[in-house]
Amino acid sequence: MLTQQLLNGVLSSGIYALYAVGFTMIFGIMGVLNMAHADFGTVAAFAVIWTVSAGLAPVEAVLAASVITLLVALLVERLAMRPGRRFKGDAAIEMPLIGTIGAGMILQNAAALIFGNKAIVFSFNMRAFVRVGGLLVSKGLVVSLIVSAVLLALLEFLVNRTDFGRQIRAVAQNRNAAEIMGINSERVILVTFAITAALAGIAGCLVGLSYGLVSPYMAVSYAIKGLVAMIVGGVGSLPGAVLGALLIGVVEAITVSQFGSQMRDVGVFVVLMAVLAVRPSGLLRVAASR
Amino acid sequence: MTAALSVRGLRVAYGAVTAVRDIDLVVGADEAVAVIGSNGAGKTSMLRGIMGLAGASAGELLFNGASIAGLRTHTIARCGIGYVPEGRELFPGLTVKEELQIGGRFLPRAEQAVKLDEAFELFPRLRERQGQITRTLSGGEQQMVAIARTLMSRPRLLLLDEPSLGLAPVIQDVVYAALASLRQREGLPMLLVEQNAHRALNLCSRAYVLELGQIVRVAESASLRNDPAIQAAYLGN
Repeated sequence: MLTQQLLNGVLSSGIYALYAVGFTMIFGIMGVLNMAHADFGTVAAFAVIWTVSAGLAPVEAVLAASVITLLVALLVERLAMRPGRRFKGDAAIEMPLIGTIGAGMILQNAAALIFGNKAIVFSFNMRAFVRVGGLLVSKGLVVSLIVSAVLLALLEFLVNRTDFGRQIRAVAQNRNAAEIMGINSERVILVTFAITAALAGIAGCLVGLSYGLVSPYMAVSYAIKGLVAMIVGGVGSLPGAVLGALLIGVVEAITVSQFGSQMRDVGVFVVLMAVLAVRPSGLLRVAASR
Repeated sequence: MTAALSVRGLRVAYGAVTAVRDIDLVVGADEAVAVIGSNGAGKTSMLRGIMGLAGASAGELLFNGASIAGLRTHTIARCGIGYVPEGRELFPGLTVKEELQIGGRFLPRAEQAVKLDEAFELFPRLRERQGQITRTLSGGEQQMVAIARTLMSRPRLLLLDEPSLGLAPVIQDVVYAALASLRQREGLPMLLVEQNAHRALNLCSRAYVLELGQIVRVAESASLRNDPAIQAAYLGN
C-alpha cells in the first residue's frame, strides 16, 4: 500500500514540478510572484477542449491552444506585471502580486462562464492503469512524468548551457548590469515569461490527460502546490523546485494513504512549515542573491 | 575628427533634486579625459545620465557623431560605449569566465576566444580565477572582472567610474597599469571619473573639474597638477 502511494507520489510530482519551476523562474528573474501562473494551465486545457470541439485535428488544436495560451499570458504580463516594473521598493512587488491574483480570478471565472462551473472531460485522456509487479501504474501519470522530465532537462540545458540562459541568469542577478552589458532585459523577461507560461500550459494539459477532467478552478490547488514546492526547494532554484515537487508529491501520497484524501494538503503544509523552521532559505538555497 | 563623445547641456535629476546641470564635455577620438571632483559632486550621476541609467536626464549626447540621447541603456552599450560602474555591478552567481562571456556575447565565436585571451593577458589573475564565482573574489579581482568584461565587448569608448575606489594601493597600481596599457596599445578613448585625482591626472591628458553638479574648470592635466587651488582641493598638497 505504501509502495503504491509512493509510486503515485513520484508520478504526480512531474506536473507539480512544471508549475513550481515556472513560479521560481519568474520570481528569480522578476523578483515578483506571478499568482496567475497556474491559471495558464487552465487556459491551455480549456483552449484544447474548445479547439477540439470546434473540429480541429488534434495537432492543429494543440497548436491553436498554444497560441491562445501564449497570447493570454502576454496580456497578463503586459497588464498585471509590467506596470509594477516602473516602480521601486514595495510597490514593485505588491502591484504585480495583486494584479496577477486579479488576473487569475478573471481567467478562472471566464472559464467558468464559458464552460460551466463543474469539472469537464478533457479532450484526450490516458486514465487507464497497467499492473507492474503488483503495483497499479497510471499511464497518464507516467506520460506526464516523462514529458516533465524531458522539459525540465531541456530547461536546465537552456538556462545553464546557452547564451540565452546566461542572459536569463544575468538579468535575474543584476538587471542594471545586464543592461550595461547590452542585454535587453525587457526582452529577456518577456521570453522567460512566455517559456514559463508554456510550461504551465503543458502542465494543465497533462492534468487533463492524467486525470481525465479539468476544472475552471483547478489552478488554485496547483498554484499552492507549485508555490510550496518552490519555497521548500529554495526560491529561485530550478533543481530545488523539482526536489520540492518530488517531496510534495510523495508526502501528499503518504498522507492520503495514512489519513485519507481529505487530509491531502495537510502533509504538504507540515513539510512547508518544517522546512521553513529548519532551513528557511529552502533545501537547495540559491547561490546568487539579487 | 569627430569626437568620441560630445555632451552638451546635460542635466540629471532625481525627482526634484538636480544632480548635475549644464554639463558640456568632449572626449576626443583618441583621448583619455578625466572628471575629478569631491564626493557628491555629481560625477557618477553624470555617467549614469550618459548611459541612460539616471532617473531623468536632458541634453545633447553624441557618440561618434550620432545621437544617443533617450536611448535605452542596452542600446547605448550596443552602440559601443563600455561602462565600468562604481561598485563593479557584477553578476554575483556567475563565474569569471561567464562574466567575460556575457561581455563578448555579440562577437563571433573565434573573436570571443581572442578577446578572452587578451583579457587574461591584461589581468593574469583572472585566468587563474576563471572558474570562480565572482561574489567570492576580492574587491580588486572584482574590479578587474568589471573592466575585463567591458573590454570583451570591444567598446569604442570606455566610461570608468571610480576604478580605484576601495582598492589597496598595490591593486590600484595593477588596475591603472592595465588602463595605461590599453591607452598605449589601442588608443581607446576613455572618460574616467575618479576621486583619486593623482591617478586620474596621470592617466589622462585633460580633465574637467566638477563641483556641486557643474563643471567649473577644464584644462590640460599638467596644468591642473601645477595649480595650487587644485593641489589643495584634490591632490592633498
